[in-house]
Amino acid sequence: MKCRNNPNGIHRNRGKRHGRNSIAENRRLLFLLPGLTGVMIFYLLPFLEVVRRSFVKAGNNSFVGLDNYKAVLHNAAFRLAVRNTALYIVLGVPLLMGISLVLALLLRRITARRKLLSALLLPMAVPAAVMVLVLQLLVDKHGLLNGVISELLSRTAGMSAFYGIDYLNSDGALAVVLCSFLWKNTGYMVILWLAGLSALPRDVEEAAEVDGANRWQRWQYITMPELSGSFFTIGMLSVLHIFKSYREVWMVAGSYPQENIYFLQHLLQNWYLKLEFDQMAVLTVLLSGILLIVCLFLQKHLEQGKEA
Amino acid sequence: MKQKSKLWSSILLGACIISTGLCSGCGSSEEEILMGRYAEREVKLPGTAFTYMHPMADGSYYLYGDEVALTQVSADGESGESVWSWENNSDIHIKNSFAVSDSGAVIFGYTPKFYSDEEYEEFAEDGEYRYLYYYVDETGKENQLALYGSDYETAENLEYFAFAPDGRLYAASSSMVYRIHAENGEAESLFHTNGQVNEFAFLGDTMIALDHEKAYLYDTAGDKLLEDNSVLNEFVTSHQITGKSIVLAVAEENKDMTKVSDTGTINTDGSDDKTAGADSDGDGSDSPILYFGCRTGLYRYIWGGSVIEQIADGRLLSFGNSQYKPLAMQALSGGEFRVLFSGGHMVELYYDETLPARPSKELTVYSLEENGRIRYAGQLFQQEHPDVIVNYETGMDGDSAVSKEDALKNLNTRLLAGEGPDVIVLDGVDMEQYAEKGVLKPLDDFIAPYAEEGTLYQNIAEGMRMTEEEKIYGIPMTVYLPIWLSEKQYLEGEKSLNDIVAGMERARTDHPEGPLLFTPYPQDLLNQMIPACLPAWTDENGDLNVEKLTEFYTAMERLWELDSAGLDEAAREKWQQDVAEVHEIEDDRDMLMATLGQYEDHQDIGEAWAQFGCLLNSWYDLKNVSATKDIFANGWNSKKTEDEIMFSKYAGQAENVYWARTVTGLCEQAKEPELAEEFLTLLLSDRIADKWWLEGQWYGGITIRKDSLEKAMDQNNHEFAEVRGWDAAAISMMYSDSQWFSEADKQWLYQMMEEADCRYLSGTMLEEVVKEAGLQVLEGSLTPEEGAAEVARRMEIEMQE
Repeated sequence: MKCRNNPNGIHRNRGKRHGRNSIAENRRLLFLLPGLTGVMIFYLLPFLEVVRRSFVKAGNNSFVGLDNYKAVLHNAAFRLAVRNTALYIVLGVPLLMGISLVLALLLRRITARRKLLSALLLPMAVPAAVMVLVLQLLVDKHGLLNGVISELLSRTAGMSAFYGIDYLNSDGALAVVLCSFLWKNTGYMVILWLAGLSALPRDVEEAAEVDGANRWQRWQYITMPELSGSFFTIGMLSVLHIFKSYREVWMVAGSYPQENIYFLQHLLQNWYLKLEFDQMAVLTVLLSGILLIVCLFLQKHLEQGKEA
Repeated sequence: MKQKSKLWSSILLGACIISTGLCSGCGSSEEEILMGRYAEREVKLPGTAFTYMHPMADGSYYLYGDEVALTQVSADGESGESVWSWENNSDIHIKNSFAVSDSGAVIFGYTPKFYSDEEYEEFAEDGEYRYLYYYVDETGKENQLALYGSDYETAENLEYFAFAPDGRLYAASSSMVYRIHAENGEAESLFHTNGQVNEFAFLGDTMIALDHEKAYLYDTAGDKLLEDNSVLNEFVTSHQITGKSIVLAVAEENKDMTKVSDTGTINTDGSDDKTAGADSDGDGSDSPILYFGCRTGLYRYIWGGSVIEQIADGRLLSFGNSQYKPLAMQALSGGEFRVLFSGGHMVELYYDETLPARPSKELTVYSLEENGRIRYAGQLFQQEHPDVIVNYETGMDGDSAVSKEDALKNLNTRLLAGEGPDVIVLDGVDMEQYAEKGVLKPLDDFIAPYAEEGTLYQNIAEGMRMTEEEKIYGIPMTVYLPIWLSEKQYLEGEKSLNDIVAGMERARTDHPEGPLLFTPYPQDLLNQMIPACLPAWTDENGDLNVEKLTEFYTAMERLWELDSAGLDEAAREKWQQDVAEVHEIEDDRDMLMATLGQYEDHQDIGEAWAQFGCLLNSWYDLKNVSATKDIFANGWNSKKTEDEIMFSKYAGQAENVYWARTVTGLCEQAKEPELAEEFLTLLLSDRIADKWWLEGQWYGGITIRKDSLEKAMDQNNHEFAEVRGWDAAAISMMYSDSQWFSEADKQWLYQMMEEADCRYLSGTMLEEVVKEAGLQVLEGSLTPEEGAAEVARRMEIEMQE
């Protein structure tokens, strides 16, 4: 036997295998190198420059330590923007995910859903400018919504003149923005949920049904756990779409909108025009840090879920 | 294995070192400075109204303009004015096109003068009319030319005429080129064009005609259209920007002309010829050359060649000056050129071998929008510093659709990258922000000598102090002063915004019909009122005074109500349409006529504000006096002619306000700081200020140089002081006697300048927000209190940022 003749044979083989692995690893790295170089040059190095700028004064480039960070954290506009953005995400993401999931579950049972799906995707195809126009037509002081209310009031309560509310300049501005966000993105999220749902093993669910599990139990113990992968993806996409919806908000309400819809992007945009490069750098570093922590947390949570 | 790796590493390292060494060697070798480029010298013309030049082969030329006589100038510059009887023909009203031949024959199209409405209606049926044409042959025999021809009957007016060197006459309408037989009036159709031909050149028997997109080549001997030349067409398409942008000159013989060598230098002796033209033997003496002058420079095309070469950079010549439009060009011997530009500006281009081909230094000047004063100063600076190229950049080019916000972002990106300009014009830019962020260099030391000498109105310069350091970061070249013009009884003794409202209340009681202010749109009212009120809305800490703002909105609301009370919606709409139509007109003459026409329609209203610092006025019921925006003296002199009219200094909510214009600063990160300071010195010099005041280009506000203002006021220029008005039937424009300023008038203006110490800078965030909310107040969507609260809310976030 090989082992008997050469007791070190195994180790030698192991060493060869190890060597082969390392060569393969090196090759993989080699293939990754161009991409990594691009990321280094176009993302990491500029980001390091941003980090550097967050510690220097814009204009004369003198080192100011943490002064810029203190200034930003004490800035009332920054706190307002953080509060609004957080609220928008906290409200918008669960609402979008929840509504789209419910719709997906309902559509799943409909056989002729293809036509409906196309209709659901239509808002995605509407250009931002058109959407803004529609929004203004709806919620303007002299818009359709106020017109309907005025008509209703005149018919029911006999009120002849109702000047209505300028919704985008009222406390309800966030609700308007949220509604438009949901209108635009729900269809797309429904498609994603349906894709996730279609990948679920039907036999397991059927077996559970045979075993006497009710609908809620089947949802709780089979569907939900199996959808965790989709949950992560759709959650991340929802957050991204929330950030992207800034464009419509800016187009409809300008650089200084009602204070409830003043987001971090407004702040960044305005700071850029005001040459507040140091504060912009701080904000970018802080945002990147928060996003990194959120991503790591979600990733870890997902891995733990998979292991369980 | 390790040895192999080391070997490879060494080889690679060696290669790197060698290549680095080689590369550095490339740069370290002595840089050869290429010498020679085109420069220009100005030709003094007797007046600024020349709009036409006919070049002749011997270097002499004819000059003509609507208001100046046809003048023949010899090759050495001797001019002799010829008086033609047609020039004094009172029946000829406006000449629309003009041409003169080498032998002195003249043709022009014109519209006649009308003495009654019936005459005009007969001439212009349905508003459409055909020009009349007048021809004078070389012997001086004059007659009206009655044109006829098969295609001509239904054609449009002939807008452009040209005599060929053989004396034959050609003309172009917007879609056809004709040969005109002056002896019998026949208009012989030659070929169709896609647009209006606006430049002709003749090369032997070949006629070259340019419209907006191509060059038509026509064989005048064989009477046939020649095959398209793709090189010429491509050039025309890319360089004919708006209207006539290209001028042509022909050199039949090549031998005296310049040659571009492969090194980019130009030789005038004909040697080192490696042109890409058709000249096969290389001596450049065979083929004629076509020269093109346009915004980007001077180009040449060797007839039959495959490329058009640039031989002079437009930025270094008047070609690049947007104030001047090339009208005609003449190729002279020795590679020189003579070019007539709009505004009566004529230059001769000559090749200077002592100048470096490319200037070694670059001065970058930036402004958000095109600024004629800066453009002119750049041109002058360029002429005086041949080793410098002045790169004048505008953030919002008129041809592009860049918004102000995008332009500012682009500028900020450049500043962030350390690539900012040397000199920056701060009109429309948040100057205070730029000063606080260290972008602008303090100018206190720069301005000190001016203060010592008392050259400038120091109160105006002092009014520009800002930031915590209380330093001056930008100096206005001119200012507008808020002045009202109205009937005495309504605004005499006005001291505040409330007085103005009270005065207008009285005016409305006296005159229930018609608008009170010349403000067709609500934003016009805000635009007029904001400058003299805005400085009062913030305190020393920059905090908003909501009470003052509410008071402003209340006054605006009332003024708008008063104004609207005399004008129904349909009338206002018609008025707004008229204004919009005038704004759409690009041609200066048509613009003037349309503006005057508009004032004819609304002549009992008055006008918005005059250029000479009259920010505001209420020209109520000033019948039979037209007012164009650019005729300050009209209004001024109307004071003399209309006793009940008065000018008055306008105290809005702030006192002694001046609107700072062409505010110029220097960038802290300027690459050429010394040149930047020199440029600013030039801008503040009397040469620039006087140019604007003494040569008729006096729009843009009152100069802050005391001596220039005094010179302007003392010049007694009746041309400026002319009063235009409509005759009783409102058919023809008439000119009344002109008077210049009295000593009291002058002292009044000087005193206002001395007192102006409260700056107003346009384009701030506060102004934009106030305008947006103000429109809602005037439209009735918001009450004045709500409007002020809305501004406060939005400004609060802005302040917090």
